[in-house]
Amino acid sequence: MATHAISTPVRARRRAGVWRSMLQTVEGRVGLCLGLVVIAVVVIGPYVAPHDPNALGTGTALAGPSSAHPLGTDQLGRDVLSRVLSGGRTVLLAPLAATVLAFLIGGMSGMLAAYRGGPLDSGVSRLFDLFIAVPSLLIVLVVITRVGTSWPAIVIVVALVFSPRAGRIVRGATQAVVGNDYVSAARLRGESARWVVARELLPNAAPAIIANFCLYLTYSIIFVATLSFLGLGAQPPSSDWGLMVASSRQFISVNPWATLVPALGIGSMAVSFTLLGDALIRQVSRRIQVGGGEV
Amino acid sequence: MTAALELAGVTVAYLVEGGDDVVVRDVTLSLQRGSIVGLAGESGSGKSTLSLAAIGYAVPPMRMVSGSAALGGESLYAISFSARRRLWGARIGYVAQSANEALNPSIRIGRQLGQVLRIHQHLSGSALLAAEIELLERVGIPDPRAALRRYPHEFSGGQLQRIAIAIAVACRPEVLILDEPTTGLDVQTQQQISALLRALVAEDELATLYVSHNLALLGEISDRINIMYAGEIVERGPTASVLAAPRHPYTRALLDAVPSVARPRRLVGIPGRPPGRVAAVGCGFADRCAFAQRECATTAIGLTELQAGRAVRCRRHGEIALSSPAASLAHDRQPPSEAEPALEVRHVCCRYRAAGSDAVRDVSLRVAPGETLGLVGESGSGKSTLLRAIAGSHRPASGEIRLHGDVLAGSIQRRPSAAKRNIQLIFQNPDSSLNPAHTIGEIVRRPLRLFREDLSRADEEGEIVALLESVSLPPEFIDRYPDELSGGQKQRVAIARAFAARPTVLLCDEITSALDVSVQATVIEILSQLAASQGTAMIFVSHDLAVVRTVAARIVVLKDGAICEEGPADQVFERPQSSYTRALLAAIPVIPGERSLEEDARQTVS
Amino acid sequence: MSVADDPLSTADDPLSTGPDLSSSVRRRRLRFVAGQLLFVLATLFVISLVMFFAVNLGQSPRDVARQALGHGASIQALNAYAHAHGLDAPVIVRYGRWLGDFVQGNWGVSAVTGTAVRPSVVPELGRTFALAAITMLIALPISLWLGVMMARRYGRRADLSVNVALVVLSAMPEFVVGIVVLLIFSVWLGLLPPNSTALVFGDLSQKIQSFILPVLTLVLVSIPYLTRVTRVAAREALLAPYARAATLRGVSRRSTTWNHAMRNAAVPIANAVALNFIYLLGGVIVVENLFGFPGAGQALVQAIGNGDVITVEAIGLVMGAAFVLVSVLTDTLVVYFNPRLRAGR
Repeated sequence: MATHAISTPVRARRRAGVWRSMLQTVEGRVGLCLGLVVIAVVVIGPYVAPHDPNALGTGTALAGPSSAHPLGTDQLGRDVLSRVLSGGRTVLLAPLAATVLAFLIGGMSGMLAAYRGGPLDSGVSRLFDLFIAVPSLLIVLVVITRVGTSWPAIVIVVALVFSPRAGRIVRGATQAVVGNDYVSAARLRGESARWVVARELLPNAAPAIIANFCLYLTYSIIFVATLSFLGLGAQPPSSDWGLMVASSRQFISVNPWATLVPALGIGSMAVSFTLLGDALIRQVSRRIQVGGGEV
Repeated sequence: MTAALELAGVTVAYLVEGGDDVVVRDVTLSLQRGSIVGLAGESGSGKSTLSLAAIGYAVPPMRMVSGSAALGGESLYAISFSARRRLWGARIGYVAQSANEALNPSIRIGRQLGQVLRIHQHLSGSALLAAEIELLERVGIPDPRAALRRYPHEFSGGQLQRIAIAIAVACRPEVLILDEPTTGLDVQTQQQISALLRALVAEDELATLYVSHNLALLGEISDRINIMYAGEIVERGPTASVLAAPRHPYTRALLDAVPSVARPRRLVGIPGRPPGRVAAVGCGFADRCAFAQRECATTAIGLTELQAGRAVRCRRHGEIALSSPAASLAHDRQPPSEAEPALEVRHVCCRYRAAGSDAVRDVSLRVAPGETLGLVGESGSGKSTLLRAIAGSHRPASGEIRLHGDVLAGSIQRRPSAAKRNIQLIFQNPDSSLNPAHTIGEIVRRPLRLFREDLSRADEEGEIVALLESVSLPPEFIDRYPDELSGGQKQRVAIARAFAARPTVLLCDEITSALDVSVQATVIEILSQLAASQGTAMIFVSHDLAVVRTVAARIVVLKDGAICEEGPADQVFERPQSSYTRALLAAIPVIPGERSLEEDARQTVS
Repeated sequence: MSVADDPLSTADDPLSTGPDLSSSVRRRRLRFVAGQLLFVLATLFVISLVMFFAVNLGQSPRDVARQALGHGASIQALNAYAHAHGLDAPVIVRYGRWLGDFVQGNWGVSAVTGTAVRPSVVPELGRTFALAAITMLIALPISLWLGVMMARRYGRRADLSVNVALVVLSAMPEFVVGIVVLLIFSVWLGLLPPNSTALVFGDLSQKIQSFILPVLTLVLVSIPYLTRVTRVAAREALLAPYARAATLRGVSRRSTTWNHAMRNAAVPIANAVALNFIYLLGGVIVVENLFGFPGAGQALVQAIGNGDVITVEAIGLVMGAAFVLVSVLTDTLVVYFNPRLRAGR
């Protein structure tokens, strides 16, 4: 089997293709580095925090940066640095769960619609369009008041609001693939629907879906942080960054760091995923152009 | 007489990461008023780039490296881009390949036509309107006054190209550049546009550059011809003389690869594929050339001037003239066998839900084992729909399809596995028919796994290699992905995949229309050999009658979904019965010097 | 010989459309507008359903009554209140009644403040719409211009660096952008007031100042999306063969860009503007709360905090309806006047 010997490296090179070329772009690299730093803060932060994030009066309230409190204290005398280090978890995890759920719900219906085509497809697409046109923050605000601000509730509501968007993305990505003759060829060979979806459609639609997943993760981070900022996400005394921004806003002229640092934390988390997604999308579309798969 | 447009030493590059990619090198060319100069080349030869460089259009990443272009003695490259802009449309007309893309879809025809007249001739009001109407009349648009108010999408492709031509000649230019002006149009429309262009060139004494990949078309329309390969002009001279007695190996090989509608001829492909850029040193064709010697690739080769205005860029041009053209191909004209047909189509009608009339109307045909049936027709004739009905991806509205005597279900799901195996379809566009996520090995393996119970898994590998070999692909391709292959190689993989199932009936849907002629010849050669050796019945669908004539022994002509003529190839091509077939055949350009079998016979008699 | 005399030239394929052209165009336009109308109605229906049921479902009539009457109220009093206000009717009936009343301008009385909702909410809604309108009026021209400039320099350093800046900006939540703007202009430079409360009682210059930071924030968050869509659409149109053909006819660069290319880029840009209106609704809510801008967004969040059901419903429905209407209207107008609709796209 001389022919088989060379197959593994070739395939490895191929698989790595999109990712590696993505990392050759400046955005890709900056996005990855920023993302790693933010994730490190989120994961390790709580263990290295100098103070208990919820301990009151660790110093004078609303003090500026000092050696004991590098970012100063908030209005209740809590250490801002400790709160920042421990408050990133919900900012990342809740949106991540919501986005995964949205892509599961929306993605499956979108892929099914694109695969089946015909009236089912146009019906599902119109439904997606309809729910995308409904102002999402407005709806979520009102619904959250009813179902409460528990994290599971927030995750589910945000997932439901994002699922038509995710559905439209997956449908579009699938449809770009489904019109290809290799799909007709598979059907004419008598392949099962499972084969067609798993082997013909998914591998070709996946890069576009993953890239958009990154972008929607960003939107989801923004969205959940905004809910916390409006007082409908994380609840006191949580050190969630969105909530920190909201509660320290009043005192911004006294200790701006208590507001600015968590705000920039959210920003850099969102930016890192956007840069990654953007770089990925560029690579995906370039590959489609080069491969000439679409006519 | 001075030239209207004179190019000297034009070299053009594309700016890419890491430097210049030279795509046109050292082209010298002159256009005289009232005459048409042809520029022939395959895709990637640089002919379109040259046509833009000729009139000074170079926008990034395209870059003029050196050379000069003179319009009536005035240098085009020495003046600014905006100064050139004043010449375009006024003294230089340009017609691009596809008129429905070259005309703005959101602007009325009248405004687009009027724009050039307003800019360059400062016409307005009733004078403008009169000029517009006169122009549309000139190019044969009926009811020009109403046409002015319409948008491009309200016209057919042929009409749009007429309008684009009207815009190009609106300001009575001296020079006209045509970049594949009839490609993509049906042959009859193509012929009409050619007639229009010829008349305009004669009337306005336009100095015309006609760029095309179609040698036969240039053979009919151009006075002089330039053959371009890898960014260089490799041969030039009076058209009839160059095509009748080529002196460059590439021209010679190209002529051998072009199928002829006049006679079935064995096509000889050119190995390899055309490069997209100029060779660093030596001859760009050397690696594909049958005459190449070691020095060809290492020494610079200039154009050698021959007699009678001809020139050739080849070290061995003296020997080329002696080589003989490819032999005529005699089909095995076996009489339609009395045995059971491999495939039989009886009174099939096909219909699309949206359309009012039937796409296929009451078509019956039969294909004997080992026979190749050519199915021809213009776009919209229903030939692809019929093929899809046979393949099982379009359920016919009525009629029946029999495979070896058994009636087949309309939809593929209800057909038995043997039917799926026995009917294989090769698609038009190999970019789309091979899954980019699978290796060539995986692609060819799948039909083996599904249909070849005789093969154990251990034997599959060997069978794949054998199949690749049968389409002249090396075994290491087994681990390549489709986007690492050229178009011709991909189509050969598609052929290997089809034959992997050992079909008895092979359906080919315009399988060479996306390929260059030199590559097309190779694909047809391989396909014909495989079908003959395996006794596979074949239905070969194409809009290109010359290709069909080369491949098929029997022809069915479709028009508006119905059969309008049917018979042995020689009969259909030499003595067509229907007026439609006659018109179709008359519209196809023939390379000067090609004689039909009939004429051959007459010559021998006299 | 005139070319038109050539017998072949008129034998060309006939015009693809006959004399019934205008009527088929009209029919297609009519179908499009009817579709859009249906779409708006469906969207409004969904919004009204959510507004009503999210607020009313799972809340017994007595819960509502208790809000109005206080926790000490007796069961009888609660029941009487509920009956008097029709709270004990089936939910469908209440939805119909609520929607009917609402359309007639009767937006109800807040159970929390005890005052009629409409008079207190209308000025707030007005300020919010003004905020959104000013934002779009500023953001759209900037985005169009910037997008076209970037498309012309596509792939060059200037384009790429602006693009990265836009990507970064697009990933910033509104409140983060707002905080930064606030810190710079209000806390550090001290140029503008840190909040917009002066909008209600202040003089004209204070009122104008109150608008500046909220508008600036919203413009900053609107520009990335609009610009990037414009950039891609314009780039595509500038690369299209018709744009090159226009250049090769001697058409000037300005006319090629704005007349030939942008005409074809209008539809995707209009879609983006329409979607941006929907995003803007969220942005307005955030920015109003951040800057203490006395608009409907702030009132909405306050009402949610107070459990003021009636006010939440009223603000939510009017805001939702207004933004959806403007959004769909933008889209419809541009597509309607685009000739390619006549080709059935």
